[in-house]
Amino acid sequence: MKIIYLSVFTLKDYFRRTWLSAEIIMIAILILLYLDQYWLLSKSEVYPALGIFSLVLVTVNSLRMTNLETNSRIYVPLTKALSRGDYIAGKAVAVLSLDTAILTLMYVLSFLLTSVKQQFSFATGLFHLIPLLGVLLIAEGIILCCSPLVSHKLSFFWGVLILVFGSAQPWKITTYVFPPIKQLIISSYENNNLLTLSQYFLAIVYIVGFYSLALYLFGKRELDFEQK
Amino acid sequence: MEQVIEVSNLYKGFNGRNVLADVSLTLSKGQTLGLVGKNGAGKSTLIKIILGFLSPTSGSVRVFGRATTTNSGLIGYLPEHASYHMVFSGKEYLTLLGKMSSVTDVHKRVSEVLDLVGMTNDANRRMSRYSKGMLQRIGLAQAILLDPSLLILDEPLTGLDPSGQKDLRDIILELQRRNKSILLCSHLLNEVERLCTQIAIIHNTAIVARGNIKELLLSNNKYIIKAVGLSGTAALELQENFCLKKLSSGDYLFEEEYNGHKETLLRTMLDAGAAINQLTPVQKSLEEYFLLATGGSQ
Repeated sequence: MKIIYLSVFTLKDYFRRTWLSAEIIMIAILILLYLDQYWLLSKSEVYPALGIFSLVLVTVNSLRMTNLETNSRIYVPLTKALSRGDYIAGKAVAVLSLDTAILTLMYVLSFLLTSVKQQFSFATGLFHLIPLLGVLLIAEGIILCCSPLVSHKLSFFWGVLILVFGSAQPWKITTYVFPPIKQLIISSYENNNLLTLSQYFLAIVYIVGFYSLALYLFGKRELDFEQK
Repeated sequence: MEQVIEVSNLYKGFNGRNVLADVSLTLSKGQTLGLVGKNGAGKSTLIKIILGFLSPTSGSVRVFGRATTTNSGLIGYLPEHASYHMVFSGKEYLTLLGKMSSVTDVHKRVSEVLDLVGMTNDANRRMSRYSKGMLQRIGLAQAILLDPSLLILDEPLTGLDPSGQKDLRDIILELQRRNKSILLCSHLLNEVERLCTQIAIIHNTAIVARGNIKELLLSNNKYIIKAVGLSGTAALELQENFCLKKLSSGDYLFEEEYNGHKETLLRTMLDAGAAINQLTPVQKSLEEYFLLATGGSQ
């Protein structure tokens, strides 16, 4: 429950500070992209759009929300009965809750406006969002790990670079090296096979690996944000 | 007596430079320890190590006999800079902090602490509209929210007007009556003198003086002697031989230069026919003591 209350605390703080301005802008951009003959858009166009949308959304939100307290304000929650692990988990849950809600909202909108409703039932379409939740989890783990809160200001750049390579997969040889973001997005609207299952496995490895690394680094780091 | 904080031979370095060197101090249960030092002396670093935010380069720090990394929730902390989540009201902030700390009957507890710090009437106002004094009160309220037995208060009275200082001092005195152990870090030496039972002076990365505040301030070689019946010649002789200074009729200031010096003087005075009514050690002010300990007067 501690983690849930910390995420509620984080979400309330974030909402009152930002009024979700960045999220509203991103939603507006996605809707603008739909404007041209949106009723003709098929699942193979809508799901990649939702995939890239969730990738950008979670990158921005993870950076903004988890770093709300890279200053002396962090000392108050951390002197309460919270471990550093609880703290990081609370921040991660806050980002995931908000982004999952926005992704679901955008799915509902997409389902109503595009031809996805002719290809999938509402429930099937919702089920096909699961790989995109995987994208959210991978990207959040990487950004969390590379955020100023956990490691260093400059490491965020490396996090974004990993995500760019993971979503572009420019070289075939790196398919099993970079996080399988592109593969997950494709698997959200295509039929799955044995190769897809191996990509899911790789995704789980990435998720567990980066969250564990974030927990480890945050547990070890010296919290001296006051001097900065 | 049970030790709440035990710091021994602590070293902390940043970029090859020692910020703390061979620091040792203890805080016993129910005591109030004043940690004083100039800016940059290492006070905040020491506090952050005790809180587990920074790790020592070497040496050991134990709080309640445990490693500092496992003490979250056991220490109430009032940070030096009133930097809180200003988008909340005071009540909402405390309630959320209480919930995330699994406080039972959180609303009742929040009302209690708001009442203790005198913020009940302003509890529903947004913290961004609070004055510095109100923020300090809310800071103290969040520090005592979990009813910890150890409180670390970093500059609790700085920046407050005299009435705000008095109010906050009264709250700290109330916490002392409740047998809380307090580590109080302050630049206001008169407040430290009033509130603390123990003191540690930190200077140039090291603790240069520590102990019971009254004993330290009395650890002085100067005495006031009240004596009557000394003849004029005897008094002059004593003033010459023992560097005795006459303050007023029958009052003398004496500075002891070696062990047994005082006893020799008293014996001589009695032999000269004086009746000694009183021998009182002269107490320094904390400011004088601090300046002596840190070489600040130079």
